[in-house]
Amino acid sequence: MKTTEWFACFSFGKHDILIPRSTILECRFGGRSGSDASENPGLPAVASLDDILNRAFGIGVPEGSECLLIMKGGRGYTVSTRAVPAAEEIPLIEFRPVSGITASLLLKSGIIAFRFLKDRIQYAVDMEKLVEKAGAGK
Amino acid sequence: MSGDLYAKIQQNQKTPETAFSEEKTVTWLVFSAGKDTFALEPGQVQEIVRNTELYPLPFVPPYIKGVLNRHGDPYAVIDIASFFGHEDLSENLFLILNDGNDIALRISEIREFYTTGEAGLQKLSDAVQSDFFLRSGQIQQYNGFCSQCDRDNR
Repeated sequence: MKTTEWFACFSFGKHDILIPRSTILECRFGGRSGSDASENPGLPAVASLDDILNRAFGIGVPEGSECLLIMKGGRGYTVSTRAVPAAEEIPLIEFRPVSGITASLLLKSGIIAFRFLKDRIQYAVDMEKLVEKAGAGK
Repeated sequence: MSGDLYAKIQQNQKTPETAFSEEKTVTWLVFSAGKDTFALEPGQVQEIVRNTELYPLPFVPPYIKGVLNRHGDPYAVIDIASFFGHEDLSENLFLILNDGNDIALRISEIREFYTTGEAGLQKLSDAVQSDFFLRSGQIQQYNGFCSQCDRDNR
């Protein structure tokens, strides 16, 4: 049984967003801006992770180089962010899922589980649901 | 004859037992959230936590104020004043519930442990708020409304 998982980790202040590596098709660094990418017929529609988190958490937009994540999935889409990316292999036992009605609520919002570090929190997310929710909120 | 006497003795044995049987009492943890007063059975509360950091959650209802970290476990924080349409609470005091839903209630103040008889509480089956409360009662010293949150959160 698989006991660890690789994640793409993006830090936003005290909050880290962890995207399962298995859901990412390709990662491009220093690419064009999201709007340019969306106009490129070779790339699926772009969702800005920075804008989503700014709206959801009120987190300031980072100022690093742009990173484009081309996601797997039926509809296909690209996630853009200026947060500094890192790859982390994390034992699954270190994550804390929630249960009951809280779990059903958070899973709908794209939050799969949490991992608390010393003074920060890591959110393992389902990007597709997070993007869907962000779209529904527009 | 001896049978009658035996029956009378038996009845007399039962009479004092009935006379001294006490009304069932229930102890409540009474707390306030804004202007309202609520009560929970203490067994429904796992822990009372003060001054802990809240981490935000995306795209959740406005009465969910984030998640708190208790010994590495996450609990979604519900502001019950906000839930009932009142102003958000500013206090950093939480009741972590023991109901398997990983929920903490944001509250204003712990009042006391209050013991009352079952007769002192009225069922709220036909009341508007019966989706959230089971019973109501008056706690004279607070002149307030005391309710039991529905543990099934119907």
